[in-house]
Amino acid sequence: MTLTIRDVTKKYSIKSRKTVVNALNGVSLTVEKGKTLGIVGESGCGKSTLARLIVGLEQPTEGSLNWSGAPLGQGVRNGLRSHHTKTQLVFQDPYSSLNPRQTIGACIAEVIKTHKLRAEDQVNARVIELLSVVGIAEDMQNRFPHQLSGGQRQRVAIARALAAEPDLLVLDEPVSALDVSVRADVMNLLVDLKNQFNLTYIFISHDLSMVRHISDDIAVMYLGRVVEYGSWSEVLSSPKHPYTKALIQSIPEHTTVRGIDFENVLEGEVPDPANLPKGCAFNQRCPIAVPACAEKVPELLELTSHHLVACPEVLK
Amino acid sequence: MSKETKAASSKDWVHYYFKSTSGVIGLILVLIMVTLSIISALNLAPIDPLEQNPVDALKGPSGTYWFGTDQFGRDIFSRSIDGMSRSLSVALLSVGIAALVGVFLGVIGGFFGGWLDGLVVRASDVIFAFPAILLALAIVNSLGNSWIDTSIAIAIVYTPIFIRVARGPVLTVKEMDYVKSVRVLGFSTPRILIRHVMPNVLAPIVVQIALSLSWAILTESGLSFLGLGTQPPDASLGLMVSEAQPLAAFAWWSLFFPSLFITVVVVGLNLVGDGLRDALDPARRSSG
Ligand SMILES: Nc1ncnc2c1ncn2[C@@H]1O[C@H](COP(=O)(O)OP(=O)(O)OP(=O)(O)O)[C@@H](O)[C@H]1O
Ligand SMILES: [Mg+2]
Repeated sequence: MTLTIRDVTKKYSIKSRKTVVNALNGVSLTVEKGKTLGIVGESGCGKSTLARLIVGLEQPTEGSLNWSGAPLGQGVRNGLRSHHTKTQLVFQDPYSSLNPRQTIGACIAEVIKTHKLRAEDQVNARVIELLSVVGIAEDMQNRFPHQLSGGQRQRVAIARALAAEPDLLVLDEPVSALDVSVRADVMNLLVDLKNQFNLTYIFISHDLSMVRHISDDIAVMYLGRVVEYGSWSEVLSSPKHPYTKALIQSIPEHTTVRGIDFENVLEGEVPDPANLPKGCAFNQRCPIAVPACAEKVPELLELTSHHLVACPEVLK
Repeated sequence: MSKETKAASSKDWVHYYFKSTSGVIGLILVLIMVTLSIISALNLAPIDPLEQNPVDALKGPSGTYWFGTDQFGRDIFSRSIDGMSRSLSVALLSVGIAALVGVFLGVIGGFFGGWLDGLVVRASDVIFAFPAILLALAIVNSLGNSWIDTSIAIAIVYTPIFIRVARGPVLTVKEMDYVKSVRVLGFSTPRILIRHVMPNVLAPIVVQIALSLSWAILTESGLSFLGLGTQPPDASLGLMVSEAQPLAAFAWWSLFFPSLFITVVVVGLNLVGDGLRDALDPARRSSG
């Protein structure tokens, strides 16, 4: 089973300003079952938009998303059970992802009952089991979300997603809203769950150092495009795209990348996705840009069989 | 398990409501007025509100006439509770209709958007463009003077308020991650609306119901005061206040007691509204 994302674009038209936001500009990715794909990029590069498309909350403007050949996400629109439980989403902010008027036990029980995943008399046992899997004590099931800490809420949100027995879990910055002290715990929990339930993950973050702990592959996104893609070890040890290098440079323990000075590269303004620059979207901030970069949008090309880069300059 | 859970949460807010002194006082005031109305509706008033005793005209409060008498010698207490019963009936019917229709349209419009929402918003804007009391006057004028006509007029005037009170929060709540989560979980639209959207927009609606009941009572009194609501000789608090105006200088009770009833029920309903608002919002409660 494979997740296949092919040439996906997403445009939002904003009527009040008469503009069109190009949130995704042709994204193609594949994720094998049981693997974790990390997606990194600055704020606004379209990570959450891609997440919403994968779980079917929105439909792509162009392109297709398939899970082992079957189109993804139609289920949410059509109310078909067979589709929607396969992909689940964990949101960034656990303070808004749980219904404030539902106890956490009722919240998980509702998933099991609605989809009849257990016999009526087994529901309670299953709720307790799921809570214990994510490290929440059984006696907390009658609590409301506001009586829980951020970390506990995120664990509940994860348990609720697991209740639907998904194959693919999209984690949209699952720890960035949490207190630094609990981030590692939740990350470790996610790693455990993946192995325990043989899940496929898409792990989204704007922070490379978070992604590398969990990912098999990494996709670096910039303004709605993938600019570099490959196994995490290869991307991190020999990054090719100037944007990836700048991102790695911004991780505290990586101060220089092979002698090239990428300092301040990320300090410039990200171009407006409603008014994309001609050519490579990164050319205005790029330290190695040549005039041709402002002419043609670079394609993602193979460097090695499992390392792709969208920069003709580094492929030369 | 979920039965226990539900019981715990509903007991919770009732418990919390009764911890608030003003909420309890409001509830007591409203219950007193409701009880008096029921007594009147069951014809258990001490004196027939329509009975005239010219010899006893304009008597002050006494053991026989608790609130005194008017210029025709009618018992002001019996007329006041009769008027209260009429006011509450009008308020309940009008707010009932306005809340049902307004919340339904507001929730559907806000959640689904599109042309339906546009229509709902435009229709309520048209009604909003008229001053409330003038619109009620115009509608009553074309419908008639029965209490049902009055109720329909007030319902039409207040429906757009409920549309707004429901629609605004629905627009916010439908974008919340918890609604997106249950969409991803594949819950049906009715389930999402009833279990996840409605409970989170209910608090302002409940508060609006309590406030609108008090406004409806004031509007009914106003219409009667202007001679377009309840017609003489039937008792109505607004009509009593209107008729008492020339008498107030030498028969204070004829103005005071009907006004007091209006005030008590309006204040009571407002206190209940505030108490409910706090009790229904889990985040406002102290932990526990
Ligand atoms: N519903 C929408 N309507 C209009 N524009 C949108 C909408 N959703 C997203 N966008 C725009 O699309 C672009 C990508 O947004 P997205 O939320 O996917 O970014 P992100 O990578 O998740 O950012 P962050 O790290 O801040 O979460 C942004 O420019 C954003 O303003
Ligand atoms: Mg995001």
